[in-house]
Amino acid sequence: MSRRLSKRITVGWLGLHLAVFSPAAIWPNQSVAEGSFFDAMEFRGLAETSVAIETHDGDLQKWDLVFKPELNWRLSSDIRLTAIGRIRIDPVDKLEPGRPRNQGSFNSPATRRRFAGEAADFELREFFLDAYVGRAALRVGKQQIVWGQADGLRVLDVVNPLDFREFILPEFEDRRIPLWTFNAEVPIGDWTAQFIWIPDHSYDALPEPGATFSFTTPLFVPHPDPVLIGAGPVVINEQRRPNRFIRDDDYGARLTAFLGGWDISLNYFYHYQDQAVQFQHRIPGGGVAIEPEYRRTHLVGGTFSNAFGDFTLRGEVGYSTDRYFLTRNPGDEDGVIETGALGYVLGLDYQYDADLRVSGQLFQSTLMDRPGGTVRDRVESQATLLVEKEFLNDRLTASLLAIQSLNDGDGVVQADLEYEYRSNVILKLGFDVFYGDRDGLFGEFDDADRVTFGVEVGF
Amino acid sequence: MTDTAFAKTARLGVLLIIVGAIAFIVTRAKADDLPPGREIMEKVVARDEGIWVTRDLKMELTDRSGTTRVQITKALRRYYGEEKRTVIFYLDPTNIKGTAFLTYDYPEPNVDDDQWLYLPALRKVRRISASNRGDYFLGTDFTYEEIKKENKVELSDYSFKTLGEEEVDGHMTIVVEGKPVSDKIAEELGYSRVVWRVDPEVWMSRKSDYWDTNGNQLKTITLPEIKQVDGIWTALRISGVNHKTGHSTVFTFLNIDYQTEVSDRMFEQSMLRRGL
Repeated sequence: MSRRLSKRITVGWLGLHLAVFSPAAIWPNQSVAEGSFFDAMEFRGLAETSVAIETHDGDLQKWDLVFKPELNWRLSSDIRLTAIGRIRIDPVDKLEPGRPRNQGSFNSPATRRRFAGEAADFELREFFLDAYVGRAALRVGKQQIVWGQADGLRVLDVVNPLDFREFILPEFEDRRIPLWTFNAEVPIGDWTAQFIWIPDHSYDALPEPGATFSFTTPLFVPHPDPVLIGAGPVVINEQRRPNRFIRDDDYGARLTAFLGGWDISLNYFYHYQDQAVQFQHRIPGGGVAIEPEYRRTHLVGGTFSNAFGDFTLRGEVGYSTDRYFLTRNPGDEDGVIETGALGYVLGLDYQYDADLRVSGQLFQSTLMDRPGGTVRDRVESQATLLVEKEFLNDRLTASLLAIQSLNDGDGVVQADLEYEYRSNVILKLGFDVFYGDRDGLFGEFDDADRVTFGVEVGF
Repeated sequence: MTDTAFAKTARLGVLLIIVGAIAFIVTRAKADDLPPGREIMEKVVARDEGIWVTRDLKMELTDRSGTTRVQITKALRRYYGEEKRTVIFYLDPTNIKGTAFLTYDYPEPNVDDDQWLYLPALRKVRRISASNRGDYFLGTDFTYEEIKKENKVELSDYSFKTLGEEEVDGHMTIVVEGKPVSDKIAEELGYSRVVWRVDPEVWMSRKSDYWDTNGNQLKTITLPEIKQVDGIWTALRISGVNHKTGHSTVFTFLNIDYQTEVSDRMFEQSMLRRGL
């Protein structure tokens, strides 16, 4: 059944895990107590234990135990409450060494995780109310909203920020940072209009220096020229999140339809870019101060998809105003250039049979203006290839995903095996291999190659 | 061989030929007394299914070693004229809960279905190509065609022939053989021959045997429990056994409701995202 819920890895906590969740100890699938109040409640969840071993030195990269309890409460035929939590314990503590000090820079107080010591964190991942008012469907609360047709590449799927704790290796569902959002969908003739209002000022969570997947690539991290700054210091000021109610909120609208066999959408999103712009200012007397600031942009775009025999064609395009990129131009005042950017993804899926799927995608991002010295190229291209095969009546799934930067030649390959040992128990084995230029987006993590083992138990 | 032994063997041979001939003539006569295969299958296809239906579906998938996986789904169907829309929501186990599968099945045989799959891990509705009819549905022993047709067939796929009568689970059935009308159809379906045992009281095949395109027996589908629900004959249990792989699937239907209208919004993509 295609990719399963997550790509978590495992092993060491296996003993504890199986002891707690042996078949006799597993919670009933739908814990229903007597009485109408509890009849409408359903409690379930996932428990995962995983281990990742770095291949270059055999060191543990992580060894975690994750619980994801979920409560669904149907208050009436048209109203339902959903709450999803996450408790994560990782004594290895390499992905987020110590207790992260930078959460306040990224996340609003209502969205932050809570920590117990250095190895455990707790989070209310999602908490929302679904309701129907006439023909309108409302979802209000902390949630994930996914736009776009691309897999793993983001042009329009930018409504929620991402957590880069494990770079791009986990499933998107686990990487997205759910936001407090008002989300309404209203049918209008053959179209459905969606309106979103996000008063939650949270942005991408980037690992601190010293973490396994801390960014170092000059594409995102300023590397001031020592000749220019002299012997002075590089001072990194704390980034300030926008925090004005209404004025700093994000707003979006989407129209979707199924017309003539085509799934199409038109999208608009007025939002803060999820990564702060790294403005740089020279300090009189030597040195440079880096002042991260979040900046707004308008994003307009659309998507399409259709099936032709065994093939499915899908694509999305988006234009963002006011994007900022690092420059090495010594004459530039603040170390960044501002320009519009056009991005698109074209994808083609081939379904050989029910058990074998091959999917290829091409992503390109083009800057409208690229002054000399800009770190990134005017046109940046990435290609992805996914091969997914199911065996044994879908009990065993093998997948291979490759993402390649066509500009820098670096990339990542993820190979996974998932075996459904029992209805609610999945065994996992995976390899994540980075390669290429260490200044590249993927190549910078060449030392983080890993083999992973895991067990996921549903209860 | 002695003369006596030869004579005995010859007598036995003659006897077998006579018995065989009589059996053929009787069966032939019996088959000739029965309605033509096409007519029987037309009645199967014309069987009332209601305009809409909601039901819970328990899928039990058992491999050769005896390990059984259980999946619980809710399946809804509604006709819009001759167009049929079906949606299946996976409810259990937790690992696949939220997965949903939506199909628009158009009446024209040459028009591909439109299909969408919602995967919770992606939180995204994915357009998928119309499945090859002979592909197996999500790990079960039933093909997409069988899931879609719900104990019916596409009449234009087969040439039919009535073979006779046979008792299945205490019910007298009419045995109908179907052979794909072309090699292309046979390849699409994955079968070279099908034998249905149609109960004329309910116009459903209580037991069906399938042969693969190489002529080997492939699988058997049985409907051990058929009852009237809201006045409509309904299979409450469907069992499929693949003789090649030793894998088997049992579908058990619960909470079947033909009365309550299934709303249009159930068949919209946004419903896949929101879930039941």
